[in-house]
Amino acid sequence: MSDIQAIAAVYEQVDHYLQSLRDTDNRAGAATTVDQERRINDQAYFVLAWGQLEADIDEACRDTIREGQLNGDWRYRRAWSLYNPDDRRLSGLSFESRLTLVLEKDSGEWKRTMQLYNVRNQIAHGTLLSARIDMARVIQDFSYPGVAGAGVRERQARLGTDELHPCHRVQYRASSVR
Amino acid sequence: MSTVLDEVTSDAINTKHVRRRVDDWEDRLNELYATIGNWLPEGWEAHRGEPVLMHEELMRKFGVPAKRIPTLELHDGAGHVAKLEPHALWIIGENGRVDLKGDGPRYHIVDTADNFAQPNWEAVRSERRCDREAVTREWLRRVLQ
Repeated sequence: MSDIQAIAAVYEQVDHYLQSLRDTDNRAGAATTVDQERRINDQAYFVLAWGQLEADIDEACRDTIREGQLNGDWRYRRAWSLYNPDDRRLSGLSFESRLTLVLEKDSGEWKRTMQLYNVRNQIAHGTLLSARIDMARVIQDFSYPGVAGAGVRERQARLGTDELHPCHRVQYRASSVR
Repeated sequence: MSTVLDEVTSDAINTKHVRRRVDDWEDRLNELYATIGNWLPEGWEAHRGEPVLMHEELMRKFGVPAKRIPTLELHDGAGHVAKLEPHALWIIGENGRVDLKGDGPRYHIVDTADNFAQPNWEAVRSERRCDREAVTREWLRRVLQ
């Protein structure tokens, strides 16, 4: 997540510039053209920001595997030993599998994150979305676990730590992207 | 399909749904404008402005014709003017956005509620988009000052 704030800042600069063009260009069709440009700009930065989130999910996944491999009970540990947390490709796990390792599959957060992944894939593979993206909302949700609401603090209390378990960290980040 | 994210990732969306969403958007805008009109500080008046043409990509995709949707202009006796203009309905992360532009900073007024739910309007300054606050009478008075 080291670059997410820089991505957000550049996005806002570009979107402001496009907004100013829309405000000042009164030629017929200019607003439609600028709206299209802003939609494309949203999607370009969404894919950039997604890369940051995916890196964070991968890191949470690695932490979860390492934690599982440290369990003293072999009956629990044996399943985790199938994965290599130091493998760059995480033993070939798909994104869906990696996400399922760190988020409950029945949860709304899991579903939303997979929806966002599908959006990312659609854009990255050449089909632009027909909607705009509120990048501030997306980037905020990707990047501000520290301003978590009561739900996260309760989980921290339950875990007895100020350090959020990686699963919950990811869970919060996905929680309010609608 | 309770959110825009649901809509853009669903194969179930159809023309009827898109039309219903556009009609609902117009209803929500009219309600918002009525509320804003009731909250104006003394000396301010609200008038319907020139409608804007709404023809978003999803409307084009499903053959829904363009629609003229309302704007709202706010005036005070000293010549200050502010205008509320719908920006877009289909935005991932929100359920429609209206821009408020006047003498001061531009605000984005966004509905954070689910599709077809009771609106929950929040406002954010265009150049500081992470600091959202509820749209209230107090907020309106502050931004019009």
